Amino acid sequence: MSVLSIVVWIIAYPLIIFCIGVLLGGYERKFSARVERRIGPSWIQPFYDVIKLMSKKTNVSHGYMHDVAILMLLGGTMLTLYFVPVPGFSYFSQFGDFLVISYLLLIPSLGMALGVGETANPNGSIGISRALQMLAGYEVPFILTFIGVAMKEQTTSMLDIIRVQQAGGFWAWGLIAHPLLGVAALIALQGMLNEKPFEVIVAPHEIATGPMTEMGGKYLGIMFIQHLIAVPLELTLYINLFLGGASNWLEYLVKLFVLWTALISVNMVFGRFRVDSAVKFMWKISLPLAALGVIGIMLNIA
Amino acid sequence: MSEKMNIVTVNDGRTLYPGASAPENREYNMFIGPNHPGIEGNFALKLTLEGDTIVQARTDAGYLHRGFEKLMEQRLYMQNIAIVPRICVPDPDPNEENYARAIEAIAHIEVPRRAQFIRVMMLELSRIASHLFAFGGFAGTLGLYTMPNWSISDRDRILELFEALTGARIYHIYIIPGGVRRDLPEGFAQRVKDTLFYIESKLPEYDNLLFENSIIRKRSRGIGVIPPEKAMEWGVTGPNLRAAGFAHDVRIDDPYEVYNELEFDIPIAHESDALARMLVRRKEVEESIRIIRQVLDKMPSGPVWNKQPNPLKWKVPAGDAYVRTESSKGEYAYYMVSNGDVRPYRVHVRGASVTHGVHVLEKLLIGTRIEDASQVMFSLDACPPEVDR
Amino acid sequence: MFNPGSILKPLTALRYLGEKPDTIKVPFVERPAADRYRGFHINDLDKCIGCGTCAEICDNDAIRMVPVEGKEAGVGRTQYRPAIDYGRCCWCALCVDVCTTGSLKMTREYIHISPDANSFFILPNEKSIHGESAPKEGWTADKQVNFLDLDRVPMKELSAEERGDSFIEIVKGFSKEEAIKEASRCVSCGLCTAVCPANMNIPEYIEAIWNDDIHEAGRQMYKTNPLSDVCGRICTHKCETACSIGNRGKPLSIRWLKRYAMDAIPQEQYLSLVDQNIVKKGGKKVAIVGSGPSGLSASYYLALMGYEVTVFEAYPKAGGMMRYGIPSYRLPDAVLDKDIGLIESLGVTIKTGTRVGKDVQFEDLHQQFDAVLIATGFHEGRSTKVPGTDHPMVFQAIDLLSRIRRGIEFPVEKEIVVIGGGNVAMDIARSLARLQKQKYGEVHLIVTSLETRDIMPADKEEIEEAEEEGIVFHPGRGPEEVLIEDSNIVGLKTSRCTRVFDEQKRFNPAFDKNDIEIYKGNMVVEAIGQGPNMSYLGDYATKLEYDGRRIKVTPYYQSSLGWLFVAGDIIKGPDVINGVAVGHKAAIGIDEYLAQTPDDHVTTIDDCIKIAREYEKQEIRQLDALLKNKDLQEAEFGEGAAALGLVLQELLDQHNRNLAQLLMLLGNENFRIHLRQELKRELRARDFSRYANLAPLPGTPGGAPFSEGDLVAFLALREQKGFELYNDIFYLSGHKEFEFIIESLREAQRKAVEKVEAL
Repeated sequence: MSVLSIVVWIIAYPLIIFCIGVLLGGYERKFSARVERRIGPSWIQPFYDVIKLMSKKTNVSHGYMHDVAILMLLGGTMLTLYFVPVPGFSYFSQFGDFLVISYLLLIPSLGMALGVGETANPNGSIGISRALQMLAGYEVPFILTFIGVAMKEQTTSMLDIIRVQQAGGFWAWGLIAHPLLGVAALIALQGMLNEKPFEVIVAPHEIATGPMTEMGGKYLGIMFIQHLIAVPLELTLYINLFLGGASNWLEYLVKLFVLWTALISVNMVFGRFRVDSAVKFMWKISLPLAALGVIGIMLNIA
Repeated sequence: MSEKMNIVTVNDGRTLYPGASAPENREYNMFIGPNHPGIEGNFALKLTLEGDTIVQARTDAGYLHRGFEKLMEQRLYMQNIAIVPRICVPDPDPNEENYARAIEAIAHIEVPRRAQFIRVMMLELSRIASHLFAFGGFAGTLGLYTMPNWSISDRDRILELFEALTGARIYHIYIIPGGVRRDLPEGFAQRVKDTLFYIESKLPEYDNLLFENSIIRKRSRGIGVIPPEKAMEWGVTGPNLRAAGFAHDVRIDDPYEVYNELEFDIPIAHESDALARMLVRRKEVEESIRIIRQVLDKMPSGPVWNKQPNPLKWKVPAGDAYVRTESSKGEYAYYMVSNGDVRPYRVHVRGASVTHGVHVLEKLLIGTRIEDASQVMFSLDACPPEVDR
Repeated sequence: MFNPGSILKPLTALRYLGEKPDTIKVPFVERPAADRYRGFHINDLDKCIGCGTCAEICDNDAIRMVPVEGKEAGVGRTQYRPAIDYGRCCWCALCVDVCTTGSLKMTREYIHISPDANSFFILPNEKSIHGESAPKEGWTADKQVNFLDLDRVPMKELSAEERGDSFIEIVKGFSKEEAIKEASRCVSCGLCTAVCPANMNIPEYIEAIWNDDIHEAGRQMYKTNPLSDVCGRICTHKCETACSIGNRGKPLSIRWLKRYAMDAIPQEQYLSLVDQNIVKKGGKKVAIVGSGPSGLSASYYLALMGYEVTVFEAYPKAGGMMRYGIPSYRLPDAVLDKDIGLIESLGVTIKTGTRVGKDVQFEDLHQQFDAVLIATGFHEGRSTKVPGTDHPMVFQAIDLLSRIRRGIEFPVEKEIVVIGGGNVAMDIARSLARLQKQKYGEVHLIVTSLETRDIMPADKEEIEEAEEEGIVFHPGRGPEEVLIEDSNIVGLKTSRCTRVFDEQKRFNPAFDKNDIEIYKGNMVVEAIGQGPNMSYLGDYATKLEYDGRRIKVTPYYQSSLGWLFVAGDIIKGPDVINGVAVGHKAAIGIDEYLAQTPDDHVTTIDDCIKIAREYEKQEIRQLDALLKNKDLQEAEFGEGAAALGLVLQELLDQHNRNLAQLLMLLGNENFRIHLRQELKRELRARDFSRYANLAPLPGTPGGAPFSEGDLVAFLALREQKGFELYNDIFYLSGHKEFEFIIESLREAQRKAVEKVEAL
């Protein structure tokens, strides 16, 4: 690939994913509105939200760390994005396998923790502590499933895993081939996306929006942008590992939306766990499933 | 405490104001302030937390004080009907009812039978609307946002009934001393029946979504337990008391209007926790529907208002009266004193939420986790406008 | 056993993905309001009378009455209409339920979005808030639930059989409970005061009756009407015509309430009702000819002003037309004596049985008294002058009425015909009917008038009661001839009257001589009108200037001969209350004439305003200088200015010499709006009596008495011009300072009076 096309790709890729994120976000809002018997906002409402937030005159800064940490949040996610392959944009994936990705995925949370800690608002501090607890909760099963898949396919490169699944057709999909791992990862994914019943970070009635309490104006705008990029990112991660990747954009979008629909359906009808219950749930259900799956792979059963 | 400041507290057993002394090592102060999604209305909880657990709690009321009791002293008796419903926002009709009944008690005014039946219907419809609101609020604290959207939308149908009958959705200004302000419009009884049928059909869906939702049940079981032996001592009334196992209801103990001619049950529970209270309220919705159906069947014909003199020149004879009503929040009472003038001498409002939202809440919050604080408050259905008046 | 709930059941909620949502996209979709919705107001500006009851009942002070162009004040209407501030309105619809005409309504509109805050203050008219005509009506007044008391408390009267042959008073009067109940119907709109010729403080005395404070009611009445007993029985009650309750129901029985209050006060207490701060005016004497309503009223006010008054009355008893023109079944003697007794107890000398022109000459009056008021009334009946009216059995109604009262016998025939359609005709007809009943046991009396039934000038009640008593009416007939046979009257020949007034609305009847009817009767009484007898004036009649047939007078009833004043029916009628009002004004005129006021002193509040305004215009430095320099003040503005200056100084001290702040506050429109409401409330009877009871304002000895009517008029003038600095100072300083102003001005008056008396 020529240098020019790489440069274009570096600039365009996050924007495209951002747009997909906007569509996913708008879709979620329409979906949740319909379940709640409302009409709901427009399909690109998250875009309007971001524009509104970014156009606000900024506001209180709690220090240098506060400003930098926000950028760490967005930067970490964007960096992770480059290593996750999507149809047509897989250049950098060859340089980073999913171990790199799982390492990079921790940066946004750390960035947020640093920034919010700087604000000295107890709501924010509680929110961050919950975020890190949840991180421990879902990250362990998730990594375990990664390891399981890697053991099965004898490779840590995402591109290879995708190729294997696409070669084998529907039955080679991770979810069908090693179902235990797939289900465990699905549960962990729900936690990673901060959807109910694992929505403990932003719990408005308990801690007044948690980490977002002291973020306003442009800070909140950047957090929104990060969220809109992170959602397709994490969904894509799952699709690539367990749903057979995607060979073209249409298949990709369809898989994205179907997966997303399944997740937000659960989001709409359940309340949220307490943070200790959430972590316990992860470790009592998701982790053993993942462990069983790994054992099964080691014993060549599943 | 390392060093106590010399602060004199008036109420025994209430925690010292958390900010009065420096917190211990692992404690920190936090407030769930007046502007917070976890608070109904404008109300502040000043908390001292140790980790996740509340060790000291104190409520801070007053943000919604509008001075109603004093305002009522400066307005004519008939003018007050316009400000009285605003004292309790989700459930305004017990206010109008109490005010009207207090004047009727002092001046020995008889209310026509038809008006009494209409009043009962209004009170029960308001109770249903308020309970629907409570379901929504409670579910919201646990993150289940689908439920508030549903129950507000269904409550809207009741508000439309109110709009057709009284001309306004929330502040009805309809129950006036001597009767009610207008007769039922044409076709109203059928509309009410249709709406009740609709709400009844929605109750199983609420069960599916909220009351039998495993996560909701797990989270609210055992939270905010009012010890039954303390319930009477703390002055708990209404559904909160009934969830503690006591079958007290002003409609049965001290019947007013035509409740003694209607058949209904009092649902009770024994666990006295947040879940039990919401289940009691859910059963009460069914009972209210039953009552309204009986009212519609038994409604007599006749006038709807016992004519009182020109409002600008209406003197209520001297005397006083204490009247109480079962509102959706609990026992709601007015004490009115008249000195024979055109304005009330004194009106005191005993909001049902004063005990629940201030004293009981403070006692219950100690030992709960921060994530359940809001849930406790909503399960008590404490309504800050009533507390502050 | 704890039921852990289910995980799958909540998923059934997802079925709503396929259902239509409950919410709608307003404003693309309209959400119509219910039929009874309490939305924005509309008002029929022609039906609305501007009574202000809606502004009274509004508990948020959202309504204020504003003058509207094109709406004139008149009988039973004002030029004000309600304007509503939607920032304050809570849409409780109490104003709609209490509207006296039913013109104020609410529509079903509830959405109004505008960046212009002023568009939320509206003057509701027939169009909706967004200008569309004929908006759908929401909450309107209801017949069943109606806040006003529309029905009167019925008045007990003697039945036709009971009263047919006696002169006992027909109306029995209210009991206390009835009176309080009737008084509670009043909404204190004040339309009655505006239309009463004497501007009586009607809402105030009705409120006093309602509070069972009869004394206060009496005091309020005595401010403007010393003949309240009489008016309580026979007044033509223009107030009841204007009463706002009369739009949808029956007007208040104001006349009977007045009667109740005056009857309840014993004669001994009458003097305490009168405001008696009398400053003797240096022994000036006034003569009044005629003790009718205007004469007695003038004598009352002149006595209160400190003059020596002598009334000359030709008849044996005082009272004029009240005694000798109104039958005693409407106005018993004892009642009239009560009122006259009070006037005499004030020191007025009434010389009865003294006819000016016979017992006393008019010239003597001119010489012995400083001013003369003639109020001799219309005691000469007019005749139709048809053939036969010179027969001795053809009488004038007014003669007969006075003869009945004086106890002078006259023949009462078995069949009588009365010509005339006014109240005098009714009086004589009903009196003669009673005499007939007493003498013959049955009534044969016919009343015939030019006017047809619908335009007969007599009161409807009189006509109805007359019919109950057996009198037969033949309206629309004109007398042609009195038929005489054997020198006895046998009947009256009448023709049909086709019209009474011509196109120019002048009295110009036309007859159809072919339509003849003859009414049998042995006696004919003419009651078609009265005229004056001014023969006593003698030469002075030629020295006066005339306006047509009436004497030309100034607005204060002073004739071209400065010492001669005219009052009563002679100059302006036609009833007792008008006589009272005219007498009052003539008294003021006499006072001014006798006082000979030079006008370079501070005499009225008007001048105080002028001073305050001057202060407002001046620079603060100059103002300071002015305030400090008392001589400068007096030179510029005269006496009394010093007192006002003291007050302003105190005010400024209170506000820390910050005149700019004070003026800025006063310049704030919202502040003044609020003040104006407060002021209006303050000017209720209770507060008002405080300064209406004050002595006449100072300046000069004999300054014009400052009556409540004057303050009302003055404030109305101020209202028209907007909020004036004086009102604001008054409010700002609270009542105490207002009293201080009055006190200090009074002080100045006292000093001035002492100066005069020392001379």
